[in-house]
Amino acid sequence: VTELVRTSDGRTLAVDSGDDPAGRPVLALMVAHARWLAGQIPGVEARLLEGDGHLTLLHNRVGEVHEWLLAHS
Amino acid sequence: VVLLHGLTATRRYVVMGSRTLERSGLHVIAYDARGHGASSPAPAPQQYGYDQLVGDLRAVLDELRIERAVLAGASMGAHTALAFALAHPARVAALCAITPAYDPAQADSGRSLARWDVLAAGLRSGGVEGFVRAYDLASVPERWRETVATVLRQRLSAHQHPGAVADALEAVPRSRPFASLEHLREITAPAIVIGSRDEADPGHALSLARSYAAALPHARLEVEPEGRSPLAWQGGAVSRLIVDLAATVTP
Repeated sequence: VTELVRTSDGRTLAVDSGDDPAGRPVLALMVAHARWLAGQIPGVEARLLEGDGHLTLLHNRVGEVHEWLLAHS
Repeated sequence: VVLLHGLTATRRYVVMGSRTLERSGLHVIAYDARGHGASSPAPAPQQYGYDQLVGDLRAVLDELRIERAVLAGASMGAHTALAFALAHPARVAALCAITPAYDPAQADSGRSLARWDVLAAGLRSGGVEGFVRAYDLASVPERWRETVATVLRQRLSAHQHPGAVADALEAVPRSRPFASLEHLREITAPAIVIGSRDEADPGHALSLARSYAAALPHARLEVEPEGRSPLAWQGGAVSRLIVDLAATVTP
């Protein structure tokens, strides 16, 4: 919930307080960590996908994941 | 817990969207500093100093009827939290100072002020891309450069009043949150100082974070292991430290 708080000089500050205070995750940082993680695993095949996230992967990419697993089983 | 972001950032950029604080049962408050994000510009370009930033934090706590809080701030937000703790010690339960940058010994040096003025001029003349061009990306190690450029573009695009951010870029580095690190010895609240190794973030010197942690009587320093991505950039890890810190506070 974003509300406006008045400052002593009569301006307003946007303040979040409640269930969703920090907004959406900073995706660029998550991608950076995925890249780092991939770098730690020898022989890894990293697929860093623009526009996909934790939940959309399940929806959009699960077919690819199954194909990859079958191809390597 | 009140989250205070750094210069040119917005309220998202302290714990980077992590929900760990709320999941731990803490009441989380995050706000955009004056001139940043969705907050109004100051009445005049000079009015972005630490006196005003401390006054704004007081206004937020007063409006939400919060007498005492854990404060967690990054860079400008860290300096604001510490200055607030000096002015209102009874209202600060604990402090998390993430990558402090203010060095009282260097504050008036023309070289460091010129760096901020170049960024302000870049933002004024060329918008977000002007800012990114003015930012010294060549000084960022190659493995971090793309990430830093992306984060800069994202966070600079989040401001409703870019001209106000340019004013803040000139005014904040000219303002002193406290006269010397010696003053930090007066702060008795438990504290954590999070530093970043200089390889990834040379603008927030690890040596300065060490000095802050040494000056604060009840502080410990947290830094990522060598070669790892900066702790300060990992919202979940920062949040877990804040949760631990809050757990030490007596109600």
